[in-house]
Amino acid sequence: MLHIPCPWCGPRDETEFHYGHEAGVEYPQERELISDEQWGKYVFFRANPKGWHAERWVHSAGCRRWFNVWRNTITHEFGPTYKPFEPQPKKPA
Amino acid sequence: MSKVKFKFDGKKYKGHKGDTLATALLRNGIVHFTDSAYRDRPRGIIGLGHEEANALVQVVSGAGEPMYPATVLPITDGLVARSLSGVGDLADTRDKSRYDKKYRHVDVVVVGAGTAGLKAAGEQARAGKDVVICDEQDRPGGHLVHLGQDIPADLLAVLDMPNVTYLPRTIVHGLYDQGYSVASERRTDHLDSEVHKKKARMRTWHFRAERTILATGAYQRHLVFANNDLPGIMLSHAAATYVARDGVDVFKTAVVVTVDNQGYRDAVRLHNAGVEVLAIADCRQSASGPSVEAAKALGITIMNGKTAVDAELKPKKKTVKCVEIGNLDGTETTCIDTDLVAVSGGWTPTVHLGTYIGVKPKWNSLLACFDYHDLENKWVSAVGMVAGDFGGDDSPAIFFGPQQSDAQAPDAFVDFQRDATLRDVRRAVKAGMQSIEHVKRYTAIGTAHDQGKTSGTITMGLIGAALGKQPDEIGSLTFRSPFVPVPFASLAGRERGKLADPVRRTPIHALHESAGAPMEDVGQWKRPWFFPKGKEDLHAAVLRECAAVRDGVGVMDASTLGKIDIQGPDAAEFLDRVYTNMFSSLKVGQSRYGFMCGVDGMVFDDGVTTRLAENHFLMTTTTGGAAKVLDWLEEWLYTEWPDLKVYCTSVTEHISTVAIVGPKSRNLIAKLAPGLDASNEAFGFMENKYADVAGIPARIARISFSGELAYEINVEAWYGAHIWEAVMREGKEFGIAPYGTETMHVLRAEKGYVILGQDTDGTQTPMDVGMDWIVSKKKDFIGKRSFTRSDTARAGRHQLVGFMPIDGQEVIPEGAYVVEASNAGQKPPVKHVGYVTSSYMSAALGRSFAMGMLANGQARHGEEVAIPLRGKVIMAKVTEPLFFDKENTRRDG
Amino acid sequence: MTVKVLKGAKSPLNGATWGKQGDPIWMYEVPFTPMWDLRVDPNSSAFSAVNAALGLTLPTTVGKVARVNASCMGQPEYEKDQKGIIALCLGPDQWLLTGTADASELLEHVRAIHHISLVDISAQRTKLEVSGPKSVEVLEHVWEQDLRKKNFGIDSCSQGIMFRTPVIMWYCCTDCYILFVRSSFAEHLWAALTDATVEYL
Repeated sequence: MLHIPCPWCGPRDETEFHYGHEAGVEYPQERELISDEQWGKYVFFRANPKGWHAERWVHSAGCRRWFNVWRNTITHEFGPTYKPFEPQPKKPA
Repeated sequence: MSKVKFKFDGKKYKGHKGDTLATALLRNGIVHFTDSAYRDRPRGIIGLGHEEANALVQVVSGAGEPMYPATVLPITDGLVARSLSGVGDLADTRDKSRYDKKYRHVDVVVVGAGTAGLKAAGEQARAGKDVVICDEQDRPGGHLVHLGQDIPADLLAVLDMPNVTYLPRTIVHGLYDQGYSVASERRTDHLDSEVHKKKARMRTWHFRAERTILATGAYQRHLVFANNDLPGIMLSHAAATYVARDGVDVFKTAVVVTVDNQGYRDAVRLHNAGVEVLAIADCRQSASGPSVEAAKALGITIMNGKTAVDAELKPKKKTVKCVEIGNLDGTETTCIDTDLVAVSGGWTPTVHLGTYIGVKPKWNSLLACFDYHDLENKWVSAVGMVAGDFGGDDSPAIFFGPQQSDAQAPDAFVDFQRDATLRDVRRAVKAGMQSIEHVKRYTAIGTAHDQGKTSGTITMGLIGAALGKQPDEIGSLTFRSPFVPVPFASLAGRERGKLADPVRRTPIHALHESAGAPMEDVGQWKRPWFFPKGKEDLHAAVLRECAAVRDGVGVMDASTLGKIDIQGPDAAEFLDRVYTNMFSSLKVGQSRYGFMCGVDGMVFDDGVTTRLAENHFLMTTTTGGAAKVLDWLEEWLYTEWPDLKVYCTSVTEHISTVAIVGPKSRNLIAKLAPGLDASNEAFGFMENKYADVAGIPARIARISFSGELAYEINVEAWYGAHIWEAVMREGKEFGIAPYGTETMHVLRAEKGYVILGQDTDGTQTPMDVGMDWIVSKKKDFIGKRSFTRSDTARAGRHQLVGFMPIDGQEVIPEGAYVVEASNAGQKPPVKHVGYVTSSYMSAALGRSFAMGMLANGQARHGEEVAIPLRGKVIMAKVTEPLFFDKENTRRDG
Repeated sequence: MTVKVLKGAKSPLNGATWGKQGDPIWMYEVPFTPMWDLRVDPNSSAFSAVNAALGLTLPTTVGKVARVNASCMGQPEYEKDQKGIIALCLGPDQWLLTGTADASELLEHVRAIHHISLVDISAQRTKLEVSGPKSVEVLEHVWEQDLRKKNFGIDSCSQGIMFRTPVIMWYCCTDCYILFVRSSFAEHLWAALTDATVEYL
């Protein structure tokens, strides 16, 4: 059971959250102009790193807010958490 | 000493209060306990606690237990147990015990109330931390309890501090990320042989701590030599404790075989308790320390550079007869006749919990073990033996006993429970395995009930010996939770039976129950499935309910639909972006059906949204999709479109919805809401009106999910049951029929309305389900770009069609595959071209019908396809997915 | 006024009670409690307008509660006070308003000018009161979150999962916890809570 740091509520049990997807994937603005391949990249392709991964979660059973957080996929450690539109903190060492 | 009466293997015995079953049986002279699972070899008690690998019992009395070590099972009056050879039996009756859980946030959890744990707890508590101390024994002291010694008062004082919770009889069996640990407390378990009504048998504790301090001590290991498994060969610390502390007098003579000074300590204890210690065989060439001096002073023969090589059985008694002592290479052996061979193979610190979260123990060459010395970790620290602090007089231990020949190896046991031997390890290494993880899987060592508590480190040493490496070069110990077996029921706590999973009930639920409606699970919701009259089955009830709706009026509880209040100056713009169709053009007071797609262009939810005011909408979602849709809407609002001034609020349970459906629904609504002009001219399709229904302010919506004239009465949920009762009462004269989800499904399918999640599975575009009209060409929306992707735009995709069985009495099973008619008689494998998603018998059509997906289906109307089933083939005609009232003449009544 | 309750109204638990005052633990449903979901940007001019209209300062820290003219709901004077407002901060721009005052009336003029959202959700949840010296003991059986006074003192609130059920909890006064539970889950939670008291009654 992970203890996930919500930027508004502090650390809470994993059961209160839903995982969204990789953080920082931009919704293409000029959707009709980009190629199928570029669009396909946005829709289907996500990073799956071994180590630190920036993730988007929603505190669905708590404050209901979406937020971003660094998580280490090997050690399950959490790094800094950040709100939408806040600059992404540096990847933890 | 008060006597306790119990039964073991069908015989009556007496023991002392406070005895474990192991102590009591030894007291009664039982040394040969059972026979091993795979090789049927006689076995006896070897250990003192959860490391026990032989003496397992099935507890028959009380709550029962399929497999439990006799070494940790206290005897109580009325206890009935039987020895196990292999696995126990699960009970075939319901366990009536209570189980519960507790969640506790705490600064520090200390695992183990031995001297090291008490000392650490005291330091933490005096620094102002909240501390929980969990300990498996029923009194504090750890090792001192085994020694029968008093605990220093200054250590005990911590237990009385207000910020300290001491939980005896509680084993921490799991440790997870971010300071989460799980423990099992035996509350009433084993206190007596009763099933307690109010107090839980076991409690599972869930701790979240800033720091977990492991003060878990260590287990003693055995030695690997030929016939090392005979009854009467025991771990020396266990043997000395049974004899010296408990007064077990079954052993008259003993030989101690050791690799460390522990053997000397135990020899002294045995000697002082009246056992004649014939010799100490120490595989080290020399040893020193107070315990060695003490043994010498008692005149015990000490044989240095010697160890046990073999042992022999007394055939009748099935206990050890003699032990062969020799050089480490197996030469120069002499036999010593003895009742007891007390072996000390070194200590294995109990590092299990740390390894669960990937904290690697380090090899300690002085103590010949893996431990947590110099541990630096954010969440876990270690004290006492587990940290390599043995606090004794130890000369360095050495890891091994004798070299065993190949002839001896088949009977030199490593893992008693698995009957796995030195030969098995050698064979694994010869087969090319070098890692402990591989050898473990090849030999099954460490995979039994005891999880290799005694055998794990030994195996690493043996692999090392076979490869000419040190144990730490072989790898590291990794264990898995739970540390000891725990009943599933104790993990579930009170989440069993009716409390196993939440049941969501609509405000009208009780009325459906008293009407005798069987319930269908829709997610966590209970929805009435059908309303049987008399002895009707599902089939008969649904035909009747469908006919009643098509001919008269029916009523359905639609309260479970998800509802989201959406308001703000940009609400209309927001809806235009999330729905495929236009909502900004919707007039106030009107409703519109909408489709939502993911960015991949696939339909993921649908529902009717009503414009309550210029900047105020009420969205409905599918019953199962409510939470997911709200998350989705808010994700776009908060992470992509923060400029949109919109707020979304779930009101699913604030509003109760009762749908009255059928040609006579207009008469009924007029009667229920006298203030309402229900004429088609005043109250058109997809319009909303406010009126009092049965005295309650309601929003009435002319929405239909059946093709019939229909009204949905929406009221504050407190009045849901009141409205239902009023509808049933006033509807009597129109022959009103309550109906459930099954009839709803048939009615909508007759009209070709899809149910998302039944007719779709997340791989259909709106076009695939024939809903091109719902996709706006004038605006952008989520998923639109994907419609021009090559795969989404290609011809020949699976498309929604109708399947009309040629024989109208045949109902195709839902989920059945569709193949080309020309392949009808073919044996598998046959290429399938589609599948059936909805299939029913229709009262209105007087025949069966079905819907489903078919490759290029929209171009194949009129063709015939085959549905092969076990033993028969149903032929069906492909049609458009619309079966009843194709001109929509019925919805206005 | 509290809330207009018409003939025919039924609360999810029919006003259930369990134990009695003075027991180690007692619980009851407080049916037909008015509740509103309030949304306003705390950095907007609407925020001060809302505060002025409500006559209190909405807490901007998630998990804090502000109240005015509102004693503990279990106290006899509670019903007499007609202007009580209690605001539980559930999210950075979200509050649950409850109490004896009519929030929709108080905020009517603010809504006309500002972008706020006030939604009547009185029937969305029902209110339970859990009281008595054993209340923490009982709640620990079903609530995963930290109940230590140092982290969850009086007038703290939290939204979370209680026995797999969505719940808003408010620590109202000594040994007295208020639970707002989603109506459809109320029976399930009540069954779990009553079962959890069995050892203490």
